[in-house]
Amino acid sequence: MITPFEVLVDLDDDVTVVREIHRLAQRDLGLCVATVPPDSHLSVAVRWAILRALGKRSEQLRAMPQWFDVTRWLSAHCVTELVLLRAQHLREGVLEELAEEVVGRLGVRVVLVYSGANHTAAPACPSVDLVTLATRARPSTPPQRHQRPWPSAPRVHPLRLRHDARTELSEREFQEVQQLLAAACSTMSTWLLHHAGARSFQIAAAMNSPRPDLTKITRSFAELELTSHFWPLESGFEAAPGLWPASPAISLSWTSRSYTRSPTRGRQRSISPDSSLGSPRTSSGSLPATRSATTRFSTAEFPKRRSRFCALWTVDSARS
Amino acid sequence: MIRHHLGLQNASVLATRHLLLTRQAIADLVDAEAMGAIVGSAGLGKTFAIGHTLQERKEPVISLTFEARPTMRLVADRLMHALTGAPGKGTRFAMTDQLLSALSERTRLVVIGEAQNLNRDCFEYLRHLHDDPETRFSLMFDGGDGCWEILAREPMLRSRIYRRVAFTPLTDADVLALIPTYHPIYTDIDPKLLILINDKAGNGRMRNWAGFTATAAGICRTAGCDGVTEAIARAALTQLGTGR
Repeated sequence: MITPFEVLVDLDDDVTVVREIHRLAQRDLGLCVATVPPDSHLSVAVRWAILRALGKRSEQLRAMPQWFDVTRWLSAHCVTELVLLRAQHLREGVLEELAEEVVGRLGVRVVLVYSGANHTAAPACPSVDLVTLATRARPSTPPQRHQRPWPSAPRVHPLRLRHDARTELSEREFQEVQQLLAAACSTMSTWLLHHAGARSFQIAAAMNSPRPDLTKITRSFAELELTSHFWPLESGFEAAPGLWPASPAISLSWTSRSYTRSPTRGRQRSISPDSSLGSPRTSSGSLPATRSATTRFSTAEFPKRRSRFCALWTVDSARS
Repeated sequence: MIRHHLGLQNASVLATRHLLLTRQAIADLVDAEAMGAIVGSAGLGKTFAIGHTLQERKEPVISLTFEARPTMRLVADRLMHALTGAPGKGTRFAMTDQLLSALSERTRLVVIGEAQNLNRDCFEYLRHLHDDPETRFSLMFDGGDGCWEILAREPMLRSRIYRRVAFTPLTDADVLALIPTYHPIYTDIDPKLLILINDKAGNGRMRNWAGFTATAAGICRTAGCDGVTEAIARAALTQLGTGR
């Protein structure tokens, strides 16, 4: 059985252990130290704690943080090791989520620090002592690829992102962009496969849903529409068979409004997590769910709106 | 100016050993932004000593007292209200985040009165706020009977207590040395009478001495006396219900 965590037991609950671990976090950029608040029955408390350790503040959050907020900020800060103090407050379900989201998805090493006599609640994991933790080799600077600026791109449009990536990035970096778009397609396909026969108003409702767990789907859906219908992808994209019948239901008014902006306005220099969590204020290149997404239209209007889109695309390309 | 118990007039602040230790402990706690405890039975002058010391300090002070068995949410809410003047908003997790930010702004001293009323969760919550590397506040527990036993039972607190002052009753020697300067009615008092008063009413506790002094001063005014005689002392003891 693979044990996802390491455990450090501080039997005396000594404040010097906590201070030493915080000192390590100041020295090593890849190490993040978060303190689990007492009575953390819910994983949201742990998410708050990790985000706070990364410098994010609740005042800047628009809603309860989700695990994807945590994982993308851990990625953005190039965290390779996460130390959770007061791990005795963690419940089993939260540990499972941590294992799945942080260890499994990001490959970040997680060290649980159990303080006091409550260490018996620690899961059966390899133990580590403070000396090992302090002497462990960690990168002193973030990986190089995160420091290089990605091309300027309108924060709202993946087509622009893809276009600029093709012209300004190396082949390897462009492939990363392609993979991002492919992931969006994949997510979208999955959604459509699970909602076979969805009507236009249902899809529109899904795109405009205030539910945070649908945000990814909303964005992916919009991205897929743009990338698959109007700009054929060259390789690496596999659209699901169930995708196409539902496609005409997508609102093109949303698309045209996005493209009437000047491409220079709202540009960001790099691509990283959503700006709603505070600095760094950069965009993931994903599309916002706008209210116009709920606009319904007849499939008969499709060719006309497509022409409008192509005209706008030409104008914007010329401006840029 | 801090008020004596029962609003006793013309009384001076006695420089007891515990008052001086409290003054030093608070100075050290503020300098180190550490955690401390002032403990002892009721009536020994803990709260008076803290109040007297704090009026000499310039740091912002937040004093909170909780009724029996408060919840973590209540602790967070009261602390947030004391810091910002407005009640906390959102979930406790969001409020904790806001509290950590507010407590990081400047050096403060947070005094928790009647700390023996807090349960383990509340102590753990306060420790959580204090341990955050960004927060800048000293935390002092002012507790009566059983407070130190509760603090000492938790390793998370015991190892973090930087200064501890344990108040004890005044001894007879303390009474003879200090009480004659406490109030003008004791200026020329017979030492044997002082010991008698301490045995019958004072019991080495400043709160009891304040009660006796207020009563005796009233009798002195009525009788037109300047100081406490044995007759006045026995009359005061009778009024207090401790005379025989």
